[in-house]
Amino acid sequence: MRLGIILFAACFIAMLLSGCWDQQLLKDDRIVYIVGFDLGSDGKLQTTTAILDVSGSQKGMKPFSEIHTVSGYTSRHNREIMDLEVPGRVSASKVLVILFGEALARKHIYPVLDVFYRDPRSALNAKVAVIEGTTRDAITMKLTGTKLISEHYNKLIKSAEKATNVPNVNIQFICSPLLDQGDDFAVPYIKIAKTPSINGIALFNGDKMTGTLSREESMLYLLMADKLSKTASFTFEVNKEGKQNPEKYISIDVQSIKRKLKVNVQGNRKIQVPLDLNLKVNAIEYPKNHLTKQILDRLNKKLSKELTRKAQVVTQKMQKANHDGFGIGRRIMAYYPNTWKNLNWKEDYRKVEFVPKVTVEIVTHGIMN
Amino acid sequence: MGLLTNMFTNNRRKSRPMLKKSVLTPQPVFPSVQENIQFMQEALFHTDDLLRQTVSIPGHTSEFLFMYTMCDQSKIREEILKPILDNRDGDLEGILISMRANRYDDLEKVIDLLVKGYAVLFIEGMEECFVIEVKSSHVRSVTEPNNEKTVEGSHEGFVESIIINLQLVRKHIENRNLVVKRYKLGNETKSEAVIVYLQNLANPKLINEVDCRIQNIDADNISSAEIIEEYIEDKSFSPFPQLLHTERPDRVIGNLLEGRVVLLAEGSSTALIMPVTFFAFYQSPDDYSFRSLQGSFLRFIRLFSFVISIGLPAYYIAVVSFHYEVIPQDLLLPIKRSVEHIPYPPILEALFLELTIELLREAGIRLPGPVGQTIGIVGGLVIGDAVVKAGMVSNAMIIVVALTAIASFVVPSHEMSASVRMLRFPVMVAASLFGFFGIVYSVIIILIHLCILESFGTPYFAPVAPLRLKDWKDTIIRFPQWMMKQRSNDPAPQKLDLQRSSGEERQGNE
Repeated sequence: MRLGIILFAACFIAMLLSGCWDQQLLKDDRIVYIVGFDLGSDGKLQTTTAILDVSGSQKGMKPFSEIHTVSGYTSRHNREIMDLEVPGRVSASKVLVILFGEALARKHIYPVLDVFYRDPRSALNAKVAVIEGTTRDAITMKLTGTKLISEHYNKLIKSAEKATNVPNVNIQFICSPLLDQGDDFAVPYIKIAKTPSINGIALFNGDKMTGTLSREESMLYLLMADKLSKTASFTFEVNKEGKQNPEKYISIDVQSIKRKLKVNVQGNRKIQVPLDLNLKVNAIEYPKNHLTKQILDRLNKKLSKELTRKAQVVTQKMQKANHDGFGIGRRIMAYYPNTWKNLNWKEDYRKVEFVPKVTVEIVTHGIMN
Repeated sequence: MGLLTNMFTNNRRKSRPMLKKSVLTPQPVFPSVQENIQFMQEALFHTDDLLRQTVSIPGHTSEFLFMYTMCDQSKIREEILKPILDNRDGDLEGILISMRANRYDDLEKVIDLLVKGYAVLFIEGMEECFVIEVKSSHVRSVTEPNNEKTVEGSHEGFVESIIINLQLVRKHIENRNLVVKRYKLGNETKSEAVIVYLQNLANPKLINEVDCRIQNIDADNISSAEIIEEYIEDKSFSPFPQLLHTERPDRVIGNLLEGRVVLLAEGSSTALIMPVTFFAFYQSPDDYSFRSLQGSFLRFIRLFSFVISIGLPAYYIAVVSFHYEVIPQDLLLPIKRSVEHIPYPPILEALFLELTIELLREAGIRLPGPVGQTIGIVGGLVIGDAVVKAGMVSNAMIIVVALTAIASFVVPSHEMSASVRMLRFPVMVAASLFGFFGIVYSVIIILIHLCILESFGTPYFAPVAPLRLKDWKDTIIRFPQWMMKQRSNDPAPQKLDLQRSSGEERQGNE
């Protein structure tokens, strides 16, 4: 009888307590909000993290970032080293932004990201960006406002995504192009001067950064990739003459796009990619005014010509960087498997002939006329 | 060990085995008044509230007995003394008729009546005695029950008298099919209970079952409807109530018209409705006094409250102790900030607050009105503010527990509210041990139990399991009355069809 009670109690307690093993109390964990990876001077991997510090009472007291920089062999190794520095258990499950220093990104990023793809608790929606310079400077930077550094980068990237300045990527989205031969990704490219600012995008080939595009080019790049977000606005010089400087310019906002991308394989080698981009735009600023029918026609033509020229520049830069952001390789794999077998995509991508053609049509021009 | 054994066993007492119901041998009336009175006093052990009074009926020596605690003095004057005075020269028969006296020749039966508030008249030389009803009754008015208030609709409520309650029901169902069956329950208490049903609707099997279960009660003390409930319900150890309590005649009438059986008992203002399903506890007369859309909205809110009151604290505990990844980025900072310096694990925090709220609720019931408010203030201020400031409980937990407490009082039925409040504790413990996994498991167990449970042969979780989509018209949503073409199938009524086309449907055809 007594033995029975003891046995029952033991089983019951064992059953109940077993759950506590997996417990990870929010109050005990230290939450890493932003993490940056750099190539250290000695070839090691340098990790800089900002950890949320909510000391003080429940209300009032603004949160701080506790910044740690360690270097080691791998990202997991660095986390272990960091655990020795940080009071409390470090948890990377709420990482908002993952930054790469340009030097590291030009070498490789997959080995660094690997741990994020293995840990079931990792935040797959963390934004990825490349910093011109080192991430250590980017994270230790003193901001003028009261925002946390992680929040600052997160919102910076998010607002740029809305304006079609940078592609909407996170570590989950970049996973498949990262490992795919026929597809590549691009991430925001951030410049740090006095404050961090978006400076276009960094083009990747595989897991190496191979080039950059400026803000305007990256916008066109995204339109050509059929990834229009909420807004996308350009400003062009359209009039040579004009009384004042602003009168020379027009600002347009892309309302809708129609993209036609074809991959023509002629013979077995020659690949031609006609890319028709039809933009319906809204003239959001034209200081010179008088948008009559004739002027609109002239502007449409001029803008189309201008954008076509710029699109050519974009494709040239992409090819130079060996960056297959439109997934041409994927299409060839799917529709011309025999051709694909004979191709050495790393080499042959540069030989692809892009024929971009952009047509702009101003459909609305404000509420007045 | 010896001490322990002694502690647990020293107060044991063997009860004598209960005797089988003994049939009392009839005791014929004695010819002499004195002898009769002697016998009665002996039978009632010379209780002091038994009074005797001599009356002078011309030509007869007579005396009557009554229990003054049960009798109305003015009724005695009216029913016994006045007829005698009025018929000074009349014959005995005339007097007895105007007294509305019943003749009895068995004194044993008379004793029972005496206790109930009847007066017994003995006349010298007669083989019979005469029993006159002079019961005093104190009935409170038919006011709206406090725990089942509604905004619109009828404001009547049951009282403690079975006769008035039956009258309230009959008044609304003037139908020859309404049947009342009487029972005397309790070997010692002999209290009266009735079941009411519609002969042409209620399933005969159901009536049979109810009848059988009531007949089977063999207990000394049955004093109220709630006690009868425990004798006739299917599973006493289920957390869910299987009979619906109500003090509202309109609710009883609605259920009678669906083919259910209602039990009323003398001395309690609660009617028990059987069989019922889980969803019946979330219906309120208010749903029907509002229009269909508004009624559905209210009902949806109530069912939602069930989910909140069972799941919300558990969900919060699971989130902050296992899966804080699911907290959105912007919410993480406030929550992290509020839990950062709490010394206890979330489950203790939650139990502490939940128990405090239960304490406040219980204390609030006991306290008289004006003092009750102070409890609210003390509870609100102390628990809401000081505990957080002292750093014992996090702000987020206060919000969660307060929301849960409100949600658990939304349920229109008091018993269901109590069982929901009780059920959330095991779910919370499971969540604190196993996270979402624990919640899922405990909810599955609750659902399994709901599916297994039966109330008088009716599946408790109908119409969800077993699924009958037609019956959903009056469960989660409430369709307009004209669209409810059929009665709900769970009490298995004899007639399923409720109406032919009418309402909007009819208007469209014309």
